[in-house]
Amino acid sequence: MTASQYNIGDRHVSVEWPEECRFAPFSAALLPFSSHSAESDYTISYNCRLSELDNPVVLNRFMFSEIGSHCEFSAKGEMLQFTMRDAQSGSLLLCMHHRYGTSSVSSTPCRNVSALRFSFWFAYAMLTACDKLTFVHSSVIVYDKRAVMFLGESGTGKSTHSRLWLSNIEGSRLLNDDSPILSVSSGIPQVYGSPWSGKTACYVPLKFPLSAVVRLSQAPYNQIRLLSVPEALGALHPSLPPALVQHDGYADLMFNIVSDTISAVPFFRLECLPNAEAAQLCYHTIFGK
Amino acid sequence: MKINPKYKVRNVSDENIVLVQGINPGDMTKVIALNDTSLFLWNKLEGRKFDKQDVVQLLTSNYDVDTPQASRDAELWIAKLNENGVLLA
Repeated sequence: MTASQYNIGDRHVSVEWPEECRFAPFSAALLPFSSHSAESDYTISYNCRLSELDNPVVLNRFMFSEIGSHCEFSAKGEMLQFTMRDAQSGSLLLCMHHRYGTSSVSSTPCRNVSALRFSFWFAYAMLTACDKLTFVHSSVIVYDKRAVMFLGESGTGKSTHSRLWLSNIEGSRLLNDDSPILSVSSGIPQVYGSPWSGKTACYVPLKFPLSAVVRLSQAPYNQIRLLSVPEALGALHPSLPPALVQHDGYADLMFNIVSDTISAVPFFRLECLPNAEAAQLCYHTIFGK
Repeated sequence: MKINPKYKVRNVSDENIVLVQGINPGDMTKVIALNDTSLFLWNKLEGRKFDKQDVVQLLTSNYDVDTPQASRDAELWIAKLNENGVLLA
C-alpha cells in the first residue's frame, strides 16, 4: 500500500497504513484531512518489524477502555516506545517506536481499527510537540472566527455545553468535540480541528485563533469568573496528553505551549447548569455582547 | 531534607510556578505559586540538603525579621512544601 498524505494542524503527515489494510482506516474522520502534498513534515509507518525495547523505563501505563487494551509509554535513552496489549490475553496489538526529536515513527502492523486510530493520535502527539503543537482534551466552539475551548474532566459536560452554544448562540459552530490541536506561533495561540473528536463526528480541517479557555464544572447555578495564572495552569495542564507529560522533554515543551497560551488569552471558570442561560452567560462574558 | 530535583520553578506570566503532576490519568495537577521570599529560599536551597536552621539563617540574614519570627516562617515554608510532596527526606 502506498503512503497516504494528510494535512493535520498545518503539518504534512505521511502514513503508511498496514499492508493488509485495503483502505485507510477510519476514513470518514481522515478524509477531510487528505492532502496531495509531495512533501511531508512527518512520517508514520505501520509496516515495520520491531522488537520491544529491553528493560525500558516505564513512564506511564493506562487502560484504553474502547477496546480493553493496556497501553504503556516507555523510554530507553532517546528511544520512546508505545505499546498496546490485549488486556485479557496480554498479547501485543501494536508496538511503536520514536526517537525523541526526530520526524518519524515506526510501528508494527495492526488490524484493529481502534488501535490504529489511537496510536496515530499518540504518534502525532509525539511528533508535533517539538513543533509547539499539542492535543487538548476539550470541546471547541467557533464564534465570529474565534475559538473558545471548554475544558473539564470526562463527564463534566463539555460536549453538552458546546451543544448549548449551538442551539442558543446564533453563528456558533463546533470545531471539535474531544481532541482539537492547540498551537502557538509567534505568541499567538490557535486551535485546529482534528480527525479525533470523541463520539461526535466533527472533523473540520480549519484553524481559528483562540479567544478564551473555559474550565467547566457542574453546579446548581450559573456563575463565571476569571482565573488567576496558577488557576489557569491548573485548569489546562491536566487536559494535555497525560502519558506524554510524564516524559521530561515533552513536559517542558507542553509547559511552554501552556505558558504562552495563558499569557495570551483569558481563562475562566464556569460553574453551570446544563441550560441556555449558562451558554449565554459564557458568551456575554467572552465576547462582551 | 532536600527539594525533590524533579521539580523546577518555571515562570508563567510573571508568576513563579512549581507544577506537581500526578502519575495516573485523573490525578490532580498541583500548582504551587511562589512569592519572592519563597522563590529566594527555593533558589538558595535547591540541589542541596538543608534543615530548618538553614532556612532561618537565610531569612534573618536577608530580610528584616527576628529569629523567632523567622523560625515560625521557616516552619510554615517547610510544612507547605511537605504538604505538596515537594521535599525528600
